Parts: sequence; C-alpha cells; structure tokens
Amino acid sequence: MNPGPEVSAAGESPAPAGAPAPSEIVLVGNPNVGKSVLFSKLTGKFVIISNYPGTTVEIARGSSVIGGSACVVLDTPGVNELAPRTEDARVTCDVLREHPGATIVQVADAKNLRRALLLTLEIAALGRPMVLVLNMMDELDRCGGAVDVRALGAALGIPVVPTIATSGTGVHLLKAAIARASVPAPAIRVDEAAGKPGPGEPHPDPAASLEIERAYRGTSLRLERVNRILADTYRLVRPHRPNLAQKLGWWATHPLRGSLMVAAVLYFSFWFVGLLGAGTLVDLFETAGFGWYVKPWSIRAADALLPFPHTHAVEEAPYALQVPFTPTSGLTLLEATRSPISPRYTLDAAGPPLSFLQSALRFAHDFLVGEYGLLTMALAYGLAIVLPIVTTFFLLFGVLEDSGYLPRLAVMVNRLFRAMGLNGKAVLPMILGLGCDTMATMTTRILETRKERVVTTLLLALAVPCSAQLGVLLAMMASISYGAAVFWVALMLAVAFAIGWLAARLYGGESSDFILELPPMRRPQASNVALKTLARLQWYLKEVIPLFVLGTAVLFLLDQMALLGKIARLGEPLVTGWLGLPRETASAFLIGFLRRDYGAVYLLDAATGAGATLSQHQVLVAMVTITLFMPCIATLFMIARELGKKTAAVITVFVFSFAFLTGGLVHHAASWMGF
Amino acid sequence: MQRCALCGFEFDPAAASCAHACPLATNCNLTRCPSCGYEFPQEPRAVGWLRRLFGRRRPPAPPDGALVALPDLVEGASAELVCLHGTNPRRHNALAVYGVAPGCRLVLQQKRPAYVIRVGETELALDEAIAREFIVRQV
Repeated sequence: MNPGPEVSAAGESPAPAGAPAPSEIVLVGNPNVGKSVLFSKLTGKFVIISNYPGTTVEIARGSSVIGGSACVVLDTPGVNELAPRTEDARVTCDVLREHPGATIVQVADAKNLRRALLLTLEIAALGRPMVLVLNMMDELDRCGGAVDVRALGAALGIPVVPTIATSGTGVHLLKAAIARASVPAPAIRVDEAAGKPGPGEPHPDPAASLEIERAYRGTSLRLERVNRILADTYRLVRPHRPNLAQKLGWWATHPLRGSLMVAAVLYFSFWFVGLLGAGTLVDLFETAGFGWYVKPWSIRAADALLPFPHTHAVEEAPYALQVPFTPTSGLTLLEATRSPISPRYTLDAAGPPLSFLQSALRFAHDFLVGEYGLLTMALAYGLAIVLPIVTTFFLLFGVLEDSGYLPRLAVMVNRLFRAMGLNGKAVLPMILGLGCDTMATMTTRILETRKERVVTTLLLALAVPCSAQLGVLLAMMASISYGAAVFWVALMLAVAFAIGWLAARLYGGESSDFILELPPMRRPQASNVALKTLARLQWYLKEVIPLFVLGTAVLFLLDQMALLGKIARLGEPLVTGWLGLPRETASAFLIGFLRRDYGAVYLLDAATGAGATLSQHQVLVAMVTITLFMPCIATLFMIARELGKKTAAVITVFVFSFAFLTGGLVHHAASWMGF
Repeated sequence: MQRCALCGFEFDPAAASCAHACPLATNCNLTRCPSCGYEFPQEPRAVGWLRRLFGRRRPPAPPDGALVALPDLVEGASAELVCLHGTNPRRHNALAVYGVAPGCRLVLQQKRPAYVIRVGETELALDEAIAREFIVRQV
C-alpha cells in the first residue's frame, strides 16, 4: 500500500562524503509501534512480535546488510521515556550505553506522533546519529491524517522515513536512510533544568524526589516543543469517521457490551483450548497416535533389541474422533477400535529365573518402554497431552494479543482485580498462567511495584492451573457431579480473592497507578500469530521434554527400588488420613511437583481410567489439592529468579501447607455433610 | 410539570386545556401541549417509578467556562485540561509521556467500568481516583 505522498526519506542533513555505513543499529520506540516486525524485515529473523507491552523483554539480535556492509541490529523493549524507572526502560538504556557507536533507529506509530516525538527529543539529547521511522502509514491514511515528512525531517534535522512494516513497504528506503543517519539539530534539544511551575500547576511536593520533579519539568517542556512541531507538520485531511475496528474497541470496554464480549471470549477460549485442544486433539495424539502406533512400535523395537522372556498384555483401545460442541456432547466423525500391545507384561512363569544379563536387559527395557518408560510415559505425556493443549493456548493468546483486545480485558477486570489488591494490568500474567505458570511468572515484570509482582506470583502459584493441568482437571470434572464442579470453580475463585486480598493487606507498599494505553484494534495477521506461536512452542519444548524425562526417570527409579511404596507409607497419614485418598496417590503428589500436570494425569488415570480407583468425593478432593498445589519445579526456579530465594521459600511453604489444609478441609466437610 | 414530546415546552398538565365537547373526554388520558397543540399520552405511574429508580442520572452540564473535575463531565464531552490536582510527580510524568499535560485537549469516552479518555490518537484507561485529579474546562 502506498504510504502516502511523501514516499522518500527526507529532511536529513547531508552526510559527510565517504562516511562509513554504521556497523551497529539499535531499534528503539514506544510500545505497539511495530518495532519487532521491522526488526524481522531488516534481519529476516523471527522474534516475539507483540501488541501488548512487556512481552519483548529479551534483547533480539540479528544482522542486516546496510550500505553494502554487514550491520548488527539490536531490538529493545518498547518504552515511552528513557528514564530508567521500569524494567523495560532500564534494559533499553543499558543497550544504548553498551553500544555507544550504534546508530539509533526510532520506530514510531505515524498516528501517534505526539508520543513518538516526545521520545525523539529525549533521544536527541544523547547527540548520536539517528533516523526516525514513521510506521503504520496505512493506518494514518485510514484515520484521515497526513504528515509532512519533509518538514518534519527539516525540523528535527534527521532522516524521516515512512514505512508499512507488515508489508515491507519503505524498508529499502530505511536502509538507505540509515546509511545517511545524522545527529539531530541542536534546536530540538531541551534543557531539563529550566522551567518553573506554570500557571495553574500545583506547586511541587517538597517531599517528592527531585529527580522525578525534574523529569516532569523536562517532559512538559518537551511536550510544548512537540506541540509546536506538530502544528507545522501534521494535519487532518478528511473528517475522522470511526471505522469497525474503532467501534469494536469502544464496545470492548463498554460496561454491558464489553462484559458480553468477555463472556464470549472466555467461552470461546474454553471451547478452543479446553474442549478442542485438551479433548479432541489430545485424544487423537494419545489414543490413536501413541496408543495405536508409537507405543507398540517402541515396545516391539525394545523387545527385539533387549530380549528377555516375557509376554506383553494386549488391551483394547477404542477411539472416536469427535468435534466438541459442549463438554458432554459433540459430533462424532469416525469411530474405530484396535487392540495394540501395552507396556504391561508378565514374565514366563514356567521358564528358568532371569540371568544377570537378562535382568540388565529387562532394566533397560523397562526404562525405555516400561510402565514408567521414557517413550511410553515421558514422551507420550509430553507430546500427546501437553503439546496439543499448549499449542492451542498459544495460538489463541497470539490472536488476542495481536487484535489489541488484551488491554481492553484489563479495563473490564480492573475493578475485580482491585479487590485482590492488584490492578487490571495483572490480567496478562494471570491469563498466561492458564497456559504456563513459568512463563507467566516471568511476565510479572510488567507490573510496576514489587508488591504487585509478589501478590500476582503467589496467586499464580496457588490458584491458577496451567493449560495441561487444566485439560486434565476438565477431564476429571466430567467424572464428578455438576454441583461438585461448580463448587470447585467457586472455591478456586474464592481462594484467589481471599488470599490475594490478604496478601495485599499484609504486604507493605503501594499498588501502581492504573494508566493503561489502549492500542487500536487490528485484524491479527495469521503469519504473525503463527510465528509467535512457533517461537513460544520452541521455548516451551526446550523446557518441557527434559523435565518430563527427569520426572519419569525419578519415578522409574523409585519404582525399581521399591521406594514408591515406602514414600507412600511415609506420607500415608497425610494422604489417607487427612485427604482421604488412596495410598498410591502419594506418588502423584511427589511427581506432581516435578511436573504439575504429570501428577494430575496420574490422578486422572486413577479417576477415570480403565481401573478407576477414586470415588467422586475423592476426585473432588484430589482436584482441589492438585490445583492449589505448588506448580512445577521450573516455576519454583523462575520465582526464585524473579523475586529472590527467601520470597520463593516463603511462597513454597505457604502454598504446600495451604493446598493440603484446604484439600483436607474439603474432604472432612464433605464427609460430614454426607457427600 | 410535563414536557411536550414535540416542542419541549414545559407546562402544568392540570392547567392544560382540552376540547370539552370531545366525545373521548370521559376516558381520555392524552395531554395537549398548550404551545403547539400536540397530544401525547401521559406517562404511566409505574414507568415513572422505574425511570427514577434505574434511569441514568446525567450530571447537569457545567456552566460555560467553569472548572470541573473530569468525573463531572458527561461521556462524549470534550475538554481542555487546565491542571492536574494532586502532587504526585511520578503520576504526572507518566501521564505527560502520553501527551496528557495542562493545555491538552481530551475527549471523555466513557466512565464505566474504567475512565477512558482520548488525547489526540491515544486512548488511555484510568482509575477513577486518577480521573478525579483532572481539572478541566469543557469546550
């Protein structure tokens, strides 16, 4: 799409003849301006491309060819000012300081010039060569606005390049402009020390920090200069009529329509991740894929390579491919039954006892394809159960991110979150926690105060089940009564509110201001969403498979050394006496710590599998305890990294104790009431 | 007092005149506007109760040029920010970075469930506590 009448870069002062092309460039800019899209167009490298601030917290590095020579390109988190008061701004300032010779390329949203130019004037004060990119020119055109690129370049004294990064328009002009980057005109640099409180402005609080006061003065002065520049360069070509995207944005925060949209989004999410992902896809991968093909092939291969006299059992495995409509009904597309061999086997009773070599082969065989085998359990759970659920979750999350809906969801839930001592911005980590608690704990960095980070992390560890676990919990819910399911949901919500409120009261400090920008609603780009999902899955697989292998190996060794029974007896008073669950579930809790969903799957088998051993009452108690239980070991490491070992230890002790206490109370209360 | 649905004239319905010879006079519940003659049915009592109970209480429009707090404006109103009450420079700086500073023009888009204002092309969501600090003049 034509970015507008001013297609060419303009306004730069002529670079000295023979000046070398830059060897390093740093991309900076406000959040939601398309910096990461531009990075990928310049370097050809994939990176998390996000519409919501705080999700590009790592620095992306790539290379490009500019002015005929190779150039390193660094991407930074989106910032609205250079003052190092937030994590993102600190990272950006660090990058700029560590690369003093790098050319600065500021990416701006062409529709939001005021904010962008405020940042431009701050960067100009550094006195380094820079280029200003006006991205999203197509959206500016749709809004009826127009920018005089030449006049803007002349006023700033740097090259200004219009682009549409999503389609790659203007990227070649940008590369040419980077080669001719110049130091901004001295006239636009602002003296922060000047300026007294203006008329109508309150006098500063003597107790307030001098630095913040100076920052406010500086911002006000820059704003004045920016308004003058805008008056000369920006104009409205035609009246601004709201388009569908804007109307959707307004509806999304309307008290009634917005609530309906939240309900619709939640129901769709439940259907897409909980029913389609955790139901249909998991069934396809686990029963048909692994159950009919991968497991039997692995067992036959292991039997051939590691022979010892034994006979595997054959179990009937029916499968139905169903498109779900509700949790209990759907459209069955096909049904089939097979009888593949299972990991369970019996030794040849009539034959001689196993020799030492045969015992060793049996050990290796069991390690790979036994009941707790690497291929039959670890990989099956990792690829057949976790992967489909997490994939559907990340796909959905990518769509919600790119559409610009997430900040509006924060607006809708802000009052609710205030009751928990948080504000609406915490909705992002909470939703991510429904995908993966480890990733969500890392995202708490976007919250401004430590108090909010600690309370949100505690709630994530306590009351937010990750997507794989949620899938299993939903399956377990199918085996209990409707009333019990409602009770479970209500109890989890009540725990979240009560503990959140209490933690917020007890933890000193203040909550941050709820000032949140609402980006325009956009149609998500399929390629963008797919790239982001792939990048997240790659990260997730690197974390999940080794831990599954580790968890299964531990369980296998405990089983081989007959320690499982001993550990279960150790925990017997707690598990059987207090929780009222069978002894075997003790190993579920132990393994549940190594992999949260893993323990839940073990319980699922006991609750709904071929040899179901748990009653409805016990299923509910198990669900409550498992949901409140500590998330997996990876989350514990992440909490220690983000909040420190002491806080992580306090959270761990509290969560373990609270989970068992609540589970036991539910068991005893339900028994007393006769359920 | 009754308000004519057509011309907006406010009058006392008891004092409104009617044609005495009209054959519908006995069971008529229509009110005639003395200004334009338009006849319309009176509002049933139950409807009046419901309207007073659940109807939105729109705040009266501030007199021209008066300084008010942002929550005192109606949704959709445009205003000029005169000053930010309160002495929290961190908050003022966070707002200024979005272009919200004394002298800027803003539109109050909504008040519930959170305040949403538009400054230029930037839409910002705010808590009510922060919105209370905005001292504005309606334009």
